[in-house]
Amino acid sequence: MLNIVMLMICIQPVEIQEFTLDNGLKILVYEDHFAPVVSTQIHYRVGAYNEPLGLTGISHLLEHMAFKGTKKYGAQEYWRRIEEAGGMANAYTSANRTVYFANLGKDRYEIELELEAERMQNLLIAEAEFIPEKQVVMEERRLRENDPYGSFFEQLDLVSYSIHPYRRPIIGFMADIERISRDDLYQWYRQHYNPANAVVVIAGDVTAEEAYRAVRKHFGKIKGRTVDEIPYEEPAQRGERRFEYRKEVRTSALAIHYHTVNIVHEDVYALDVLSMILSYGLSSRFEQDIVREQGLAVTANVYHMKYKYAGSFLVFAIPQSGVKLADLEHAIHESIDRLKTIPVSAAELDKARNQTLASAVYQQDSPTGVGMRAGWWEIEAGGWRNMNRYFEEIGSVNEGDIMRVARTYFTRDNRTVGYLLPEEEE
Amino acid sequence: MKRIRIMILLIPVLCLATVIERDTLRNGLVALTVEARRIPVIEMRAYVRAGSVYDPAGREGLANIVAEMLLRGTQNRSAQEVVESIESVGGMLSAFCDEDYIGLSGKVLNKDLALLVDLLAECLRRPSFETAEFERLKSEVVSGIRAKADDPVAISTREFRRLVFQDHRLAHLPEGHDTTVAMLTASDVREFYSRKILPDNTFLVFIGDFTRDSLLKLLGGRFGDWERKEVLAIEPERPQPVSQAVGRIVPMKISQAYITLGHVGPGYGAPDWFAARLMNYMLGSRSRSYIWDRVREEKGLAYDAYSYFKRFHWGGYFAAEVQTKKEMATEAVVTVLGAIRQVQDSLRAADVARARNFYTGYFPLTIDSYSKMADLVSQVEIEGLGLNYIDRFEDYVGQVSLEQAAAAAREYLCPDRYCLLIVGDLQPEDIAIDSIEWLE
Repeated sequence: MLNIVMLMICIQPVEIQEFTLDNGLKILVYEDHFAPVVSTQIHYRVGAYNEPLGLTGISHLLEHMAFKGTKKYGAQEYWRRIEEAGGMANAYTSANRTVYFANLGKDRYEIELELEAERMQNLLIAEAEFIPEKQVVMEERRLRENDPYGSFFEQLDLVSYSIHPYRRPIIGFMADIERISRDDLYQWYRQHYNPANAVVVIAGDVTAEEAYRAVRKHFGKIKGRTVDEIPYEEPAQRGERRFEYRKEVRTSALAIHYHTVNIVHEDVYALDVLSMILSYGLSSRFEQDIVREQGLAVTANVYHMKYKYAGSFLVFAIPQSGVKLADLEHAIHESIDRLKTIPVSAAELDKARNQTLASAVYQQDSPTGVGMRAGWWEIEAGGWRNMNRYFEEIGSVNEGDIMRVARTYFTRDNRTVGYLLPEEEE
Repeated sequence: MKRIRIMILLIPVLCLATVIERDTLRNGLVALTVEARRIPVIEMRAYVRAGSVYDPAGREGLANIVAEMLLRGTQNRSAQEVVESIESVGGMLSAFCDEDYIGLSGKVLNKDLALLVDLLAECLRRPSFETAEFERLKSEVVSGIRAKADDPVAISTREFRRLVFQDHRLAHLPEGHDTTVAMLTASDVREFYSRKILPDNTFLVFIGDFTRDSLLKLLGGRFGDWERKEVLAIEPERPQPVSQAVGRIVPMKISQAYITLGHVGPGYGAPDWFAARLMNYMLGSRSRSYIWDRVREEKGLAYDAYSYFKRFHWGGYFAAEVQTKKEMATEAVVTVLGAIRQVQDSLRAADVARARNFYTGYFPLTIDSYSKMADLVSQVEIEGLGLNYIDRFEDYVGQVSLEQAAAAAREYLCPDRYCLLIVGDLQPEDIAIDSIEWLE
């Protein structure tokens, strides 16, 4: 316990200055003056979750086309300006967000603000650019299909979720990508890209006041409009689901999915500590027991993924040579079931909390990372302040909490088990 | 103890002064330190010049096993106690192996510095090499290698190496082959360890919230009596380039062709490295380069297309990579070759200026965290770049002329004598390029 107290002292809450422009644009500024670098990010409140059936992948396709020219700047202009300034830029799409960012020297971060303001208002989506870029996205999807596990995970989501939008792949189904027209994309852009549907995050060697003024200068005159979002709920799973996924692979794999809770639910903390106990680090239970002692798996990992509207607790394991998937699955169920009846040791609990709290400190070595997390918490997790609260709550998880959440969520009826198997011979 | 101290001012906006110190213990162990106060964390690297190029023939994967065994128990702690010690305080410690070095990499809160140094000293100096742990690790590594048999990226990486380096020591990846790892014995590990893991073959890097004096005191206490022994040097052999274009297809039933095209390239110490680096930026960096523009932007052939140099002490290689629909494989290869010829034939002064601008502006982003700083300081030591490297970087880049970049393109790119590796559902006759000699 002494260790936990010392760790809590090490952790300085992330201090963020928050502003909101009249048009609804939220601005978060994180000051870090270690290096003369600023990360400028814009997080839109739109992702695969918002997409209608038949247009899956449209948010991601729009993210690609957002680099292909605006009224003011040609198709190559974004990259030319970032490159000239020695910047690093990229973008990504998730279930609930589309994010653009650039890291630049502190004296030039406004370049990205200007480009993002232009992107928010004046994207062209020219047909001539759209056709080859759609091919690029289709190649991206093929890469995922050719990854030994990519399509297996896609199948896992489709089986685990019955009606929830989280069942759909962020990149979209191939037929939908092919179907999406330039006009669909433009309409999607007009519907979702505006100040009231976005959060700008500035992280690095700036002052909050200076950053606020710069954002206001570039975005202040753009009209904002709130975008409605339907809060879907996945019905409770009532019975184990199992599936086989056949592919031309030589090594099989196992995935087990349990539905958990959304990011703002109180059980998140105990579930996260539990996932650390199971598979974080070389001293974790899965590593020590399933990989080393029993020699059943090459790798056995747990991922607790918390989203805005739901949560997924995923176990993924690859068996060692000659090990049957059924034996590996049995060992994993046994390990998880022990959590329901035998309290975790005080040492294990301390270690998991220490690891979580230490990682909170480590994360502060990257203003880009702090900014990304702030945007994520702001859009998906009830506000950036919950980021600090999260670490306080982790410190108070106890043995009883672990046992309770294990019993609540790790039930047979709540799980989906998938086997990735080699194609059967004819 | 020798001390060298260099004050470095970061560019281009001079508001961070970083001091790199280099100290050498009497036994030859080198410690590079940078004090920093952003967060109460310490980042550590330990490098031993004992990478996979030192694997004996038929024992490929030995260096990697030795690296992993360093964490699998010491004379004072079992394997489990080693990982428990560090992880119970939220720290991290892991082993690595690349072509030139094996080592350990770690991170702790500043309050746990002494623990980190204790563990580091134990793992490097007193590994137990327990037989049961060794057999267990071997089984894990063999299974891990076999599990990559379905991954076209992993297969491309492995097979391209074989194609480019043929029977050279760089032809295998550090992890080795499942067959050679399975053959390793505990005595192989002990012998390799005793020949290579020595103080004057090792350097340490510490970045973060500590004071140098107290760290050096700790290091002196834990490493000062580590006995110096002569490290037997192996004469470097330079890898030989192919004399004509050669190709190999690894059959795999997938919808795309994973294409890697390249050849032997420069290693560390090449005097014109900066010119080559800038030249490759124009040829194959992501987002705006000859390869990217033609393969992705103009033709929509691939999600990603890029080129790079990978360098080691004993040589290196150049490679361009594209993954495209298998029907478009020929076009992708022809397009990449065209881009290479273009950079050789018609490099412009504006291109070189563009690359210079980029690298100068980008440099602060490469050292904006403890971990990036630790990697850069390690590279400075590995390549012998000099402790003023960060200070001089802008000069190195700024001095590259159009003529030098063009000369590097001619020197280090061979669009007529390359190795072409394709993983995919294709046959040699599907690739409509006559000049390639296809290998089995």
